[in-house]
Amino acid sequence: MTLRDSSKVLQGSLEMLVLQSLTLGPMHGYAVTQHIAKLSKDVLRVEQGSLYPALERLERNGWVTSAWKPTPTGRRARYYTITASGRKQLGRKLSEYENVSVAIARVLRGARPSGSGA
Amino acid sequence: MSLIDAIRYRLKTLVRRRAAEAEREEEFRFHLSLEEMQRRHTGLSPDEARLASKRGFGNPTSYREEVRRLSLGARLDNAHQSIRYAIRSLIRAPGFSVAALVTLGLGIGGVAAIGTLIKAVLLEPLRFPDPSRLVAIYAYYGSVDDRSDEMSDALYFTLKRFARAAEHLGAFYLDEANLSEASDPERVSVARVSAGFFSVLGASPIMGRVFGEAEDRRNGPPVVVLSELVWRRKFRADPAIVGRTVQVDGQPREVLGVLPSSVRYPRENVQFWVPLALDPEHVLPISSNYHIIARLRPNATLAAAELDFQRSIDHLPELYPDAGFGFTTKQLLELQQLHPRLTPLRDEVVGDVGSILWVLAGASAFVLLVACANVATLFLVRAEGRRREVAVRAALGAGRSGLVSQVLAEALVLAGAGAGMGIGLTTLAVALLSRTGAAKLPRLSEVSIGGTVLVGVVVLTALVGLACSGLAIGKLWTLPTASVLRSGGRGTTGGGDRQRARKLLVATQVALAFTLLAGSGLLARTYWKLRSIQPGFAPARVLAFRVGLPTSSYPNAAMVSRLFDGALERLAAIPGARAVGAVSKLPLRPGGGSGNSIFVEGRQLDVARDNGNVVFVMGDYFRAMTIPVLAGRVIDRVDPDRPNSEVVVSANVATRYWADPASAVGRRIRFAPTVDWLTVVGVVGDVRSGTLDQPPPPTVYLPPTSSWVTTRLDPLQARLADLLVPRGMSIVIATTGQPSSLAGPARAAIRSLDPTLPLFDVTPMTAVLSSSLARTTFTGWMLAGAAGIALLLGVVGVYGVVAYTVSLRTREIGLRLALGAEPPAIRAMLAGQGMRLVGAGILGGVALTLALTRSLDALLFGVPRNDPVTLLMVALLLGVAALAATWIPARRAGRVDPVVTLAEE
Repeated sequence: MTLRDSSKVLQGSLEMLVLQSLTLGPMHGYAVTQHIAKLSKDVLRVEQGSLYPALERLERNGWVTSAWKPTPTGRRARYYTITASGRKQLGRKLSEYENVSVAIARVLRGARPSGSGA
Repeated sequence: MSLIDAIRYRLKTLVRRRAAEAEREEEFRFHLSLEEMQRRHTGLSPDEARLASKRGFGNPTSYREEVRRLSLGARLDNAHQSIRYAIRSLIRAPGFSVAALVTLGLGIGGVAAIGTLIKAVLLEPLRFPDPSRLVAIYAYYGSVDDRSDEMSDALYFTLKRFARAAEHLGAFYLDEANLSEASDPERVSVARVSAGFFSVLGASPIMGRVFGEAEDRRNGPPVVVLSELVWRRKFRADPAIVGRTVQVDGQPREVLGVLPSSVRYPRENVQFWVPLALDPEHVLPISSNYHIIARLRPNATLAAAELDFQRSIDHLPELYPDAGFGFTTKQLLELQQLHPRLTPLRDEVVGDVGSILWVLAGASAFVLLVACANVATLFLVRAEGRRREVAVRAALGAGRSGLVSQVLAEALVLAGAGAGMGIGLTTLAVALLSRTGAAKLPRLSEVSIGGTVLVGVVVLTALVGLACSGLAIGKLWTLPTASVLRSGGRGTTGGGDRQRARKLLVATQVALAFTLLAGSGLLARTYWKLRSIQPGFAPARVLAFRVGLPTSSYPNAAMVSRLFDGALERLAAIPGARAVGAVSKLPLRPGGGSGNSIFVEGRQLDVARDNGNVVFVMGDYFRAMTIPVLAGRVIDRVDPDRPNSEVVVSANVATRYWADPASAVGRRIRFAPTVDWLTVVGVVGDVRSGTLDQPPPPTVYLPPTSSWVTTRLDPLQARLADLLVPRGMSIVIATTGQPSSLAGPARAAIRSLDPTLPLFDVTPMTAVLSSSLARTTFTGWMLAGAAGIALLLGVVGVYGVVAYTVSLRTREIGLRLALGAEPPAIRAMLAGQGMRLVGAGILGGVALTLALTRSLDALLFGVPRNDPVTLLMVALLLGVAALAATWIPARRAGRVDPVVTLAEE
């Protein structure tokens, strides 16, 4: 039960990260992983095994669209573009996330005096 | 925007599934190559780089699977795969599959068959244009609180003239006639109808035309409209039939047209429609012989039309002041307190069969519920058996939704196959019903398995699939994986708890089976009550058949009497004939008897009380039927050329007016105030001539040449008298041997008198008796069948629960036995567990029965609907059957060898 719930949360935040990356402009899957890694200073490594299902879900919900385009090096790649409803969704998720993180921060602060510093 | 995108996306993936797969592969390859390149930049060797990036990629198959699962096409693929897998796994478990399939097939088939009947007979509108506007008119007599579907010609003409609510009015009279077209003469059903009859129905012929007002008049041209059935059967679908002449009752009639087989009114088997030819100048308000139907105006409601008809009837006395037989119409209306009542024509056609069909619908629904409960139990058992497999799969990461969809697929496949079987059964049942007409249902010819029923079956199948698998799915969904794996997939003592759902199901089955058994028990008791009723005659070794005489060659009572005299004489000479007689209305056969007011000499007429049936008899009728002569004598052989003035009355007539049978002899009665008196010469026993469940009607027996028929004061009454002449009589022959062996000689004897006369409805009187019980018998057998299935399934369910408990607790039982428990105590403990279940089911069943038997009221006779004897018997029967079912596994438990079971571990 709890496992399923937490995995849903993780999925949700991955999608948020992907959408956030795509706000910079259309990019292919590899560029998305690179961007996320850079943003998080290599702390977050997105496995391809999670990335493509996430992109598929986003596309299914109409939050991104995709098209095959040539890369600057002349190869063919699928480029993902965020849609208007995708931006809206990102906005919703971000505000939700902020609420949660504020709450988590409060809890953590409250917890600090009683013990562990890890 | 996003919705359209989503749809387009789905369509794309569905249509171009293969291309999409390829694209996905390309995308993955592209990603990998970029990754590899980057790793090489960081200084790894090419091989190391590839390995590292592959590692980073995770398990490629698992995520390809995941991506694929998201698309719609893949979902269909999944469904397809689940179903294929379900079929395979069902084939691997043939015992389970066959049991479930047969159970569901019977359940769904029963519901579909009854649903088909109900739809065709009760729900479907009549096959006429705008059928909701069609009504039948009944006369309600306030003075006797009774209603009749027959009214006078005067009433018909009055309504026709004044009733505004009716767009068309039609009158008709049901008759029979001899058809002597081919070598083999036969008796056919004829409707004498007014011209308006066809306009009311909106019936249009498939060829030719129907008759109009010009032909429907007194002394009008002899014309006839054929039914499609008789046209095909007797005239080989002759395309030039219109204008031809056919012989109906010995009279040549010109064929005007042919009506399609969808027109089966006023009778299912009507073959000819001929003009009724009523005469508005010569009517008899006192004599009610005609049925009236109407097509209401588009916006007229039943209530408004009834009021309009009532107002019209108020004009009756001014239009026709003289009612006949010395009554004024005003007097008559005051005596009768006549009110018109309207019924939708469909209800009139369907009659009272609705009560039976709804009872059967309830029964079939119960059987389906029992079947579902049973199959749900089977699924639960299967789920129990798969606990370990499921737990292992779940632990290895298989999604629970996959498991669920597999169980659901199995249930749906089973339900679907069951539905197929059910539809097959339905087709068979419908064919059988319309072939044999076992239930004597109206509109059977219209019954077919249509689209609505098929859609219903599909919906039903889906529901059944869900109902059967729901509990099992719930079980699997909440399966505590870890503890199952720890306990090695075998329960130790948790069995009782895990069986709770199953026990509930079994108790429900027992309750439903109880209710069905109680219903069929009540009908069985009704049947025996009816069988034990003395009908007033002895049906054994009596052969009955009918002979009909055409009006053209037998125009008057004298000729009719002479023919039957001759026939009875020849029939009496047949070896094996003990006594021979003729009667105008055979007991327990519908129709033929006419109710009349009885005027008793020296008494004032009481309309509500003083009436009875008038029945014509000839020859040795009473002796042939073993109807006892209680006083006086029967009417001797009469002279056909002289009016007879003798009558025989039934015992209840005698005791009503003259205290006892003996004092009735010599008294006088008559059927109208202006005709001659008739003298009572004898009193015979009462006969239940209508139906077995109704008390014997007061009856007056007289010969066809009675002065009541032959002498009339004016020509108008003579016309009525013509209607009274009994041209169709039933002949009864009491035999010394097998009654049916006399059918051949009897036919020859009648033929030797007049070769054009058909002999029909040849049946032993015992068959007449049992066919009068046809509805009770039919409903009883259907309910008994349903109850039998439910009982079997219920008992199997009880057996299953106890047997499973025993198998779960074998170790415990072995331990108990090893510690010194006595086998009988063990047996009793297990049997007691099963019987508690049955007891709960029976209690539920009693409650359900008490709530539902009200619906059987219309079918019961002489048995209270909550008859405690029946309920007790049913409880006993169920109890004994269930005890046997629990005893078998319980006994096995008592024989457990503690050494063996404990050593097994």
